[in-house]
Amino acid sequence: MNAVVDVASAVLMIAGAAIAVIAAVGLLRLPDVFARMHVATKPATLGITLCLTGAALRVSGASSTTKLVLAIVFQLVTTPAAGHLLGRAAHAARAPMSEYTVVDELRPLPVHENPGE
Amino acid sequence: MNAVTAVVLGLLAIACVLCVVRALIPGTIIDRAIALDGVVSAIICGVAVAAVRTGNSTYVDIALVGGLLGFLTLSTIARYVGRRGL
Repeated sequence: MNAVVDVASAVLMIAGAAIAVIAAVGLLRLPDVFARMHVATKPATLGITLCLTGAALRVSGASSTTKLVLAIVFQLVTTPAAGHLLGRAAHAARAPMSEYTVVDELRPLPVHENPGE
Repeated sequence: MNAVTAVVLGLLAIACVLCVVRALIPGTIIDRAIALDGVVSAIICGVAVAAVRTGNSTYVDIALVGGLLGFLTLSTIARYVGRRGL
């Protein structure tokens, strides 16, 4: 039983760290602010969830496990909110977009020349 | 278990270095904020792994506080960019 928990914890922690590395490579390679923001929120949710779950399986004491679960929940709640705030701020400040951008749902609506007709 | 935690800490160190490189490349303030947030999330993971490695449960509190600070920093920078522009 102990060995099973050890292996599960090791796999979870290594997966979380691998996601952090992949996201850091993505930060260097992706073309614009919005794509980089997309990749940067992955280690902050999935990476931290995996790493902290792996640690929670292995730490001693119920209080430590509870605190780690609390940290995971908090991270899962706040990271999308922070990403949303930053994305809106970047769009409002007219951050340049990559030429590969397909859809921009925050763009101003087209103005009709003859309103009322 | 020691070998596993060493590997994990090594991977997280690589991620930290790549994020710092991104933050040093000239770019918008948001790019840099995102890159430094990547460092913060790697540090949170690393602190939790250090709690496993050393068996010292004080590290767990640091992971909790790190998450709070990361959110506060990003939302502050978003507010600043919203008022002043890039």
